Amino acid sequence: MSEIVKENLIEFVGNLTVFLSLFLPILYLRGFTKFSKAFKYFTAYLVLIGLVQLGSKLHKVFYEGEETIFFFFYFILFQFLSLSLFYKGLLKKKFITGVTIIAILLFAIQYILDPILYFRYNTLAAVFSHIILVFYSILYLYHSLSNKKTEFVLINSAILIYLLSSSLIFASGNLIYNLNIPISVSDTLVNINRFLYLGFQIIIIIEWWKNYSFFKSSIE
Amino acid sequence: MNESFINDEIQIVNIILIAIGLLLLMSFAIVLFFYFSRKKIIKTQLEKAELEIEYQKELLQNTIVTQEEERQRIAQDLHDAISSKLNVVSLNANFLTDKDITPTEANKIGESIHKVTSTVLENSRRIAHDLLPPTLDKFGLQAAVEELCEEIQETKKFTLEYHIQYQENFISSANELHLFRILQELFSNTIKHSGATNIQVALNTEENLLSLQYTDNGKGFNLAEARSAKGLGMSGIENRAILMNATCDIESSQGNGIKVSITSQPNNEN
Repeated sequence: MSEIVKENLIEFVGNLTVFLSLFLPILYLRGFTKFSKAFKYFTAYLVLIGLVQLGSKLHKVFYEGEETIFFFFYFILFQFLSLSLFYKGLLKKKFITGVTIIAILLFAIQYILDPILYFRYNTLAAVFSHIILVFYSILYLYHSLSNKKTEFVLINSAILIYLLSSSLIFASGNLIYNLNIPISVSDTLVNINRFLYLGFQIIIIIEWWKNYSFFKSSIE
Repeated sequence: MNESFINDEIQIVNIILIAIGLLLLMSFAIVLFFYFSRKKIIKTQLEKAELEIEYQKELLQNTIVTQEEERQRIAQDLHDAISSKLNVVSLNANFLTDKDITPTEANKIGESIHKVTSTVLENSRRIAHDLLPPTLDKFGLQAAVEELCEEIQETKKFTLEYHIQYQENFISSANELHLFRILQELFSNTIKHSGATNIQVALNTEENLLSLQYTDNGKGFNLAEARSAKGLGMSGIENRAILMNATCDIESSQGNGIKVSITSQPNNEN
């Protein structure tokens, strides 16, 4: 594959993920009032992530060349909050609220002690929030073992796969930035993340198509 | 020097890439593991449910067959012991309406009617008694079982040794009836099929445990075959034991008679 095709493909995937980030919330918002609490929280997740993506994209357009890394802070925060609520809706366990509050407090303390972190990759927060979410996800998988009817089985599996693999990408974010290596190499990680994220988004669409599309809801 | 430094860093990146690959693989493995486990668990659950339904069906089938047999028996009894005799009475009564009848003949016919109606009365009492012995209701299980044993002894077909020591109200009245029916069924099986010469019955309530032991020295039977035969007594006995939450232990083989042991906790209603 020639270099130009490869670059085009990667750029296309990047743009596609941004487009899907904006498109998915619209898809899910259509059923917002019809479905369960977990569905509402997941829609909230999609909306928040969509907003972060949109903000980051607009920031790039209007303030060309400036840092957009602080959007990462909102990405991690919103993702952790909304997905924690999502799993609370699915698992109906009280301890999730406690864990979420404690984690948020710890992150707040971290930012108070080191405000510069806002303009860097907060690898610790990223990895810990991912691990907590992965834990919920495995718990939900276990929970779904004996239940015949379970919602969000696909998305839950996708969350597990995406978060577990991407946590290492986020963890190595600062390392890559500090290392004295060609940008093309560090780009590889970003690109892998893009592909993983695209896969995640495709699963979200499939889940919607299978269980929450308007064809389905009109039949039911 | 600078080049080797860069090489080191590229190696770090490579390690990171490999680690990401491994994590990806691991997460896939976890998801697949849960997916297949779930499939398997649901499959076993389904099989279990089907088995249960199958068992329920069999139980229902047995109940219906038993019910039908019982109806047939009652119909037969009513026909043989009452209807046919009442026919005779009706015929004789018809003779009485004849104008040419002499007083001696009338007396004779009246006597015959009296005789037949007495038999009919006796028969109807017996049928009602067979359906539900009034002793059980009026005097309790101890008396009813003793009465049943005495009746069996009167047939003189075999020797019957019995030892009844039942503490009244040890089990609920519904369960008392189940126990009585089980004993009736055991006797009837022995009389009908076993050709036994000796029966031993022991009913005890001791140390918070009710136990009924029944042994005969008849020709015995193959337990598995008897169970699968629909409407036969054995499955009925076992079903009644299940209903009264008792444990039922039946031992029998060809040529070795039968040994039945039923134990139950007090007032164990289902």
